[in-house]
Amino acid sequence: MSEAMSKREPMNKSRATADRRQFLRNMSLATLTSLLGTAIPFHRYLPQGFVPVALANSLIDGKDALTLLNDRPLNAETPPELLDDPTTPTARHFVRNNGQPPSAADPGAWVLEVDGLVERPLRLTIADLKSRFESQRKALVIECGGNGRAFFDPPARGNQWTYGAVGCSYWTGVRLRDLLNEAGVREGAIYTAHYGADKHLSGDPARQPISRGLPIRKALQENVLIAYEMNDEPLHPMNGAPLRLVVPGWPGSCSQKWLTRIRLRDIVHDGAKMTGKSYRVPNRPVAPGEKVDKADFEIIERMPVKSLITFPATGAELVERTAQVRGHAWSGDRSIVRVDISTDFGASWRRAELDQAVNDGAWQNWRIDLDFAQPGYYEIWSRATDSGGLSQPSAIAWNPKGYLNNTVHRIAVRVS
Amino acid sequence: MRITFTAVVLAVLPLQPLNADSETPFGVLVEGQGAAETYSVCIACHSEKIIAQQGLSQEDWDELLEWMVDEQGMADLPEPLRGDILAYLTANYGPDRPNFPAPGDGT
Repeated sequence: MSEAMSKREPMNKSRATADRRQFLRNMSLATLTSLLGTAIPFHRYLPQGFVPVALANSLIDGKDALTLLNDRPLNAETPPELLDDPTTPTARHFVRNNGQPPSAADPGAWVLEVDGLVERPLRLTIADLKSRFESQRKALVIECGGNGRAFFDPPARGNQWTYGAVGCSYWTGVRLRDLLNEAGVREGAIYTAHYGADKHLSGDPARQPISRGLPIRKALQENVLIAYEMNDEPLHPMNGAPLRLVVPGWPGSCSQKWLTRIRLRDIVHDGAKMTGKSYRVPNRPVAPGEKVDKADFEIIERMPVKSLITFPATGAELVERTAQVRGHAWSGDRSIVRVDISTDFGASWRRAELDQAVNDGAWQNWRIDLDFAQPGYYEIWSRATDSGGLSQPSAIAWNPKGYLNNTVHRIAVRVS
Repeated sequence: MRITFTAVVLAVLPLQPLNADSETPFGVLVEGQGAAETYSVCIACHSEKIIAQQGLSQEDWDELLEWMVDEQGMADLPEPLRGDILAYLTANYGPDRPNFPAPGDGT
């Protein structure tokens, strides 16, 4: 949000955002071209109500053509074809907010506390983090636990993410492990608890919008970072500026944004969205629509094996019989060993060329040159297999809250 | 550039027709009995866009309203207000998703 927007009350902001979109849809060609600062050569083909990408971008400052699912709290995902870069530009990294982000986050005054079951509680500025700990720069996958929820039948409640609640940007920061070692993990500590500066939607200061945690064994992994840079720039406000956790391969909710405190606990953390059915799945396979008792839910840990086709875009018309198809594949705490592609609805598969990850926790890029025998409608399916021997399924393992949909990615193309 | 653009847009907002296109007086919520009540109660905390995305049974909407009170700090809704809202949500945002927003709506 721009400065002008952030000074408004939440309800007004929502209204203003909606009105602004309405305005963009209704404006005349003259207004449109003056806002764009240039002529639109093919303006007569612009559909009624169409918002040019160059202007839609400004609806979330610093984000480029994300699909807006919700504006309060802000939630926006990236169409797969806009995730085509080898790593994800900041402008195309999805946004998943649970509460109201802090309006004025001053990086110079920001303090991170590490407390609870530690020998020496820490109170660190971002300058302290940079000067006292070894900095790390890694490409790391963050994927929302509910990515793919939109395809659940019966529907599962929550934001209806399709494919694009995932990204793999470069993050620079320090290892959580180094902070915990500096603080000294006391005997009996089993779980971290994360706290951020975002506010609960109800405005009640006693409530946290989200406060999740990690088993200590995960928190001590080499690639879990406390990041102050994204793609070599200060963090984007909607991606947690000025400080956040990045826990690759686990539900994005573990990667607390606007991070202010990490507390070590002797119980499984019971903060907001750690309990009940949040970020949990049944402890057994269930039928679609089945009611499951709260006691039978287990916390999601690693995210499952998955792939995405980022080129071509679904719906593309191919004028030649050959095409390079490419994308990414990833699996929480594991590597990808192969990616297979089908153009005949899964009857036969061809192995794609697969890159190594640039570092542990990054996704792996793949590509394949395809020949299409004759003109017609094709679906291109991608199926990754991970180092644990698991592949993407063709059907959703339905669960009540709509998590962990890692079915094969399918796109449609027409060869003319 | 973007801040300038925002300022320009905000300055001309009052001139724009209200709720043309697909939006109703209740944002993206479809009109119908209970729409006004649903809109006014729910947008106290969140946008109506999260409502319009859902496709839940009456039982699940009922549980969601309970969760809003028990876990999210919503005040208890008196009857007949609660019943009206539940009926509106069930009729318009059920599992068959008669009013699911088109992909990309809202960008």
